[in-house]
Amino acid sequence: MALARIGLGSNEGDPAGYVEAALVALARYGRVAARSSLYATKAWGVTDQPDFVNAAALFETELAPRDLLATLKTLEAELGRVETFRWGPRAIDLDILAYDDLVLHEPDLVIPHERLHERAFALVPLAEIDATFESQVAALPASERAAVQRIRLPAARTIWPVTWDETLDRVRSAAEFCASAGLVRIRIEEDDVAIDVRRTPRAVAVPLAALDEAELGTPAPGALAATNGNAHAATGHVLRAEFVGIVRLSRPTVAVGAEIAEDRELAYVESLGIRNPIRSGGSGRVAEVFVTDGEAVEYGQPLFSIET
Amino acid sequence: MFKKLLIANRGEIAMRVNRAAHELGISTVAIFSEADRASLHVRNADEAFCVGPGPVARSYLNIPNIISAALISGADAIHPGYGFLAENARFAEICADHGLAFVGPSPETIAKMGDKATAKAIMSEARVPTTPGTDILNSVMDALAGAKRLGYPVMLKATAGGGGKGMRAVRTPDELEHAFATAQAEAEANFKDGRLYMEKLIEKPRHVEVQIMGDAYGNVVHVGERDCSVQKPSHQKLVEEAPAPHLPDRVRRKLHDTAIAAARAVKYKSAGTLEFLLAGDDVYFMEMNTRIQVEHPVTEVLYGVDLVREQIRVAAGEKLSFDQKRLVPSGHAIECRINAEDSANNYAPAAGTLVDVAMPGGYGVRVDSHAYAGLAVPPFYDSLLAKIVTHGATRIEAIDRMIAALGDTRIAGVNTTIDICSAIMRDGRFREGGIAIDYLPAFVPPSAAALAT
Repeated sequence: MALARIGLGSNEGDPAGYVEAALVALARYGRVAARSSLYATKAWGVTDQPDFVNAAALFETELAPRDLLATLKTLEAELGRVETFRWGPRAIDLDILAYDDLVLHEPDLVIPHERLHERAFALVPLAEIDATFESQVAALPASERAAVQRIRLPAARTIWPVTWDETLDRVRSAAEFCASAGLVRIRIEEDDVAIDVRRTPRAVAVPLAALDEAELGTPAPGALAATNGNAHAATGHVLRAEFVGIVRLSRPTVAVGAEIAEDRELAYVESLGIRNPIRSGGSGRVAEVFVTDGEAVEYGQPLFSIET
Repeated sequence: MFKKLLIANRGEIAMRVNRAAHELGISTVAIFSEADRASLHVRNADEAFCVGPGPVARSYLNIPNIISAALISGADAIHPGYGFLAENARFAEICADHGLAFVGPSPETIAKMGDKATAKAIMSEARVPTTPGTDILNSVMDALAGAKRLGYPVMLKATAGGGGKGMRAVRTPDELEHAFATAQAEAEANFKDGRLYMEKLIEKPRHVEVQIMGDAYGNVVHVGERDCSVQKPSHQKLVEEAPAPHLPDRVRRKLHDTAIAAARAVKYKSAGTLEFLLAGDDVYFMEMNTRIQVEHPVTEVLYGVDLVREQIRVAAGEKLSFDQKRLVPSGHAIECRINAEDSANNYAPAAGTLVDVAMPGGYGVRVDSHAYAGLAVPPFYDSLLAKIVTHGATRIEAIDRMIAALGDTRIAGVNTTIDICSAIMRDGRFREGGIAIDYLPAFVPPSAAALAT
């Protein structure tokens, strides 16, 4: 089994489509172990030509170099012909850029590709998936490197948020999922965004430092009372309602400033006849009481904040 | 009549129900998830409760918090909208247990119709034609015999199935053994229930459904049919219209009569829909939806009735406000669903913030939408942003009005289905009418093709 580096390029019709189609077709003859992003390169000289689209693939194959070359030529013909015969056989170019560590000099086949070192459109995609080519990319003139632009996926493919608010929403959701699933860490990656949430398990309480202050200060519709989140010390936590219900302060009731010696029930939320206790989660000082006895509370509504 | 209605849904349907309730003088309670705090449905209701975080399992499906919100606010009824808890028999039962009227049919009816085998059996008994099929298949021999009786092609289906899992189309006897084994394994893996049955495969059918409405006094009417054959590869509807084009009167009558018979068979007392597959002049019952549907405005516009208002009235124990004679369709109506989706990328849902929103209006144009500029479309929910419905004296007039309306529609910030809908409206094949469900998956918008050359 050999590892070949294949370069793909097209500037006919739907170039990105050809490159993607070629990657799919390649998989019939081996395993595409890695593929680069798509890159756009301005067509030289003639300006009414579409940009070239290039990509590279790491390709595990049983085919010997010469058989691989023949296969690539067949694929070129097949893709060019089947897809759009009117564009002729050169709709896509497939090249062997390298083949293991093989060095081969024959009249019709040179490996590594003889002009690889000077072709930014081949090197830049290749370096993305094979770091051994990074030095060759670095050796290219900056202007040539800059002419090869990674094609960003259209915005609609990005399920990830683009604004701060939404990013924070995603972090919050990840944190909630983490807690609800009893995990201590969750990492989610997609495209350019990675969210890494680590949690110190603690019942019901959300660490104050992790809270978006703006969210606490936002007046919410419905039953959620407007609260002043800015008054809290940085260390501590806010106890929130998980159940929609009526809050009942437990006796003896705590007031602002009360010291709590140990974990104790401060209140409970009565929901469908069930008492859902709100516990302090340890010792501390009551920094704020957000609710009054008998008040209706909704999910996520702050009840107490505790300084520790 | 009810005093206060909790609306257990979000987005445009929550707003739709909210309007109907306010018209009836009923005050409303909205529920919302943390991701929907800034939604219009929250602002437009009289009260609102956050019931959980973004993911639906913990918010819009959070039965304890929803029921608790209803009880605390003093609501006497719950409207489930569509999706979420709308066809959850247990939820309907829990509502009843807490003295809350569920705006929909009885829990028993929901349960019966939710089980495909039971639904089919009830329909067969009521002489409603169903897709010819077999009982549970015990072996490949069983399957071969069944297929021979039904005639190829056939479809193997898992009794516990859903979402295409455990389903295999079989065209020749040679394929059957392998298909049986793989479908069984898939069903076993996905549903822990490997039981299979077989149905005749209806190829390239049209999807036609009949709207029905019933009350607690045994009155049942049909409110005509809708043609929903423009479906994405996932079988989700994109364009709906009424009446169904090129339907012989004989077939139309058969559909309507069949729907009435079916509704009577289950003593249906709310708004509901019977979905049928139509192949040539043959009509096969597919399933019954025991909820108000996304595309109900098409029917409302065509018949000049308010189905949601009627649904609430009937749930409050009132009689239907119209009889069959009063229900006369006028002209033609079409709905386009404007979704936050990338139609060029297999309708992948798009999330993002709407930076610009302009909705169409004018004569014969109706828009049901919760979109506004600045709305952050959360990634957790259905991608529907707006339903644009046009009404015309003729089908072509409705289509052309839709083209103009879509041209006036502007949504920036996420990809939408505006362009694909527009391309469909201009497509000769669609304008001809009578397309089957294979139409959209094979449809290439001419603009995209032009861009590629």
